[in-house]
Amino acid sequence: MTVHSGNDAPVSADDALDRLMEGNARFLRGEPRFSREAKEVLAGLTKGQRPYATILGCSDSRVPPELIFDVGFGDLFIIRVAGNVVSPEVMGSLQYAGTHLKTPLFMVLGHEGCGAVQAALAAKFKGTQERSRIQLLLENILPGLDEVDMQLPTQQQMERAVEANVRWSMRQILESPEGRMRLAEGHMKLTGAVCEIATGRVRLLT
Amino acid sequence: MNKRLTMFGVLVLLSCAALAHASGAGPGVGADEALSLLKEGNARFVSGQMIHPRQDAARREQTAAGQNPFATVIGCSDSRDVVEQLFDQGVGDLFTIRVAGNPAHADVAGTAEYGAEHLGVHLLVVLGHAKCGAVVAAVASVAEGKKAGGNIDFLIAPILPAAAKAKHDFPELSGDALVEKAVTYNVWQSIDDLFRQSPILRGLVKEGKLTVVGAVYDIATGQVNWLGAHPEQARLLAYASGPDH
Ligand SMILES: [Zn+2]
Repeated sequence: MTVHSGNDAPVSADDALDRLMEGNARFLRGEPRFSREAKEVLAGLTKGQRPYATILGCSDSRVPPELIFDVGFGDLFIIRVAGNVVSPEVMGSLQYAGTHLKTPLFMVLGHEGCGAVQAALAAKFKGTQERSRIQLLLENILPGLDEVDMQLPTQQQMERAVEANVRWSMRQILESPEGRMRLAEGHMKLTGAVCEIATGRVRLLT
Repeated sequence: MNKRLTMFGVLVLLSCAALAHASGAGPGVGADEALSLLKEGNARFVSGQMIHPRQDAARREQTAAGQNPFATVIGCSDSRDVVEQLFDQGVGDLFTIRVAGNPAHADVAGTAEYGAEHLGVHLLVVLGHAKCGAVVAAVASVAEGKKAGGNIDFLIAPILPAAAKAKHDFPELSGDALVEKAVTYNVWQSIDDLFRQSPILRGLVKEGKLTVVGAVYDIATGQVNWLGAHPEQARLLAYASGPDH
């Protein structure tokens, strides 16, 4: 069995990000390692978890973070809701990760072709109304799409909107009292990224 | 033409067809078949016979235009709760919702609705897990009047009814044994919350287009134990609450 990638000594936020990007490179090469770990790893994790990163991503079936970043059990604390939205409840999970698990790295991971972002764009520019709770979900996304230009070609508009939605989630995390506090302490790093759906390549936003 | 090459081609075609079938992916996978795929995948995981299906570049290209997951899973954010691995599935297979303590608040309900209504998924699984930190905190809060503090109290709020019910039903239990009961009750609570909030989900279940089941994952063994439908599903389907426009 391979050496487990996580649950060793505490890692810095930069190390955590390097691990993720190296894992994404392995995934793209078709040489996954840690995500192939068998369940034996679990036995060593029964007492608790010590993930080195927290990821807020989308529920989309094509972007499972553990596969895309080639990580094993115990490595990533994962929050996934459609459109990687921040709500008070999602904030609760993020704050659990920050205060209890103390993961050094936080990532908001959007993805190309996100159905929730697409639906929010349709609501914004075409006035499409979704039913029930889906509409509430879109209302979490809409404020982040203010700067998306209606005149852009559809595909470009979607690309901008996906990025804008990641930045909107990041801003909400940064502006929370806990987010501000932990960033000020210098222990936490928040980064944004977008997964290219056709390749699985993760691109960091700058 | 080289006969061996032809044979090879036929074999490749056959195995592709077999894989496509085994994936069960694509629209129209029924709830029973979806449940079988998850059970088979978990059996492979537990026995160490994982096949790591559909994780290559070809699969990513194939799913680039759109997703057709065959099941929705609501699980916990816990780093040991890697849903795709537990069920030995790949890219594009599972519509996965994860929040600490697998609660079913508005975003989760909205996401589940999106899976069922927009993506046409016929199986929805609420997956709790042993030793869930959020449930442990909720049980401590109920049993010992312990306040976890600020935002964590907010996080465990949806779990408190399940923790209180476990304490009420099993007054003789404490510690891990009590948490175990609360984990199961919390799965039922989430299903209850989903139906209470969502006319869409209630409607789809009544029409026979959606099956909602509970399950609990044992983090020590990797075994997923299936709980079936909510014992009082008929009562839940009679809810009249939730936004409807
Ligand atoms: Zn998405």
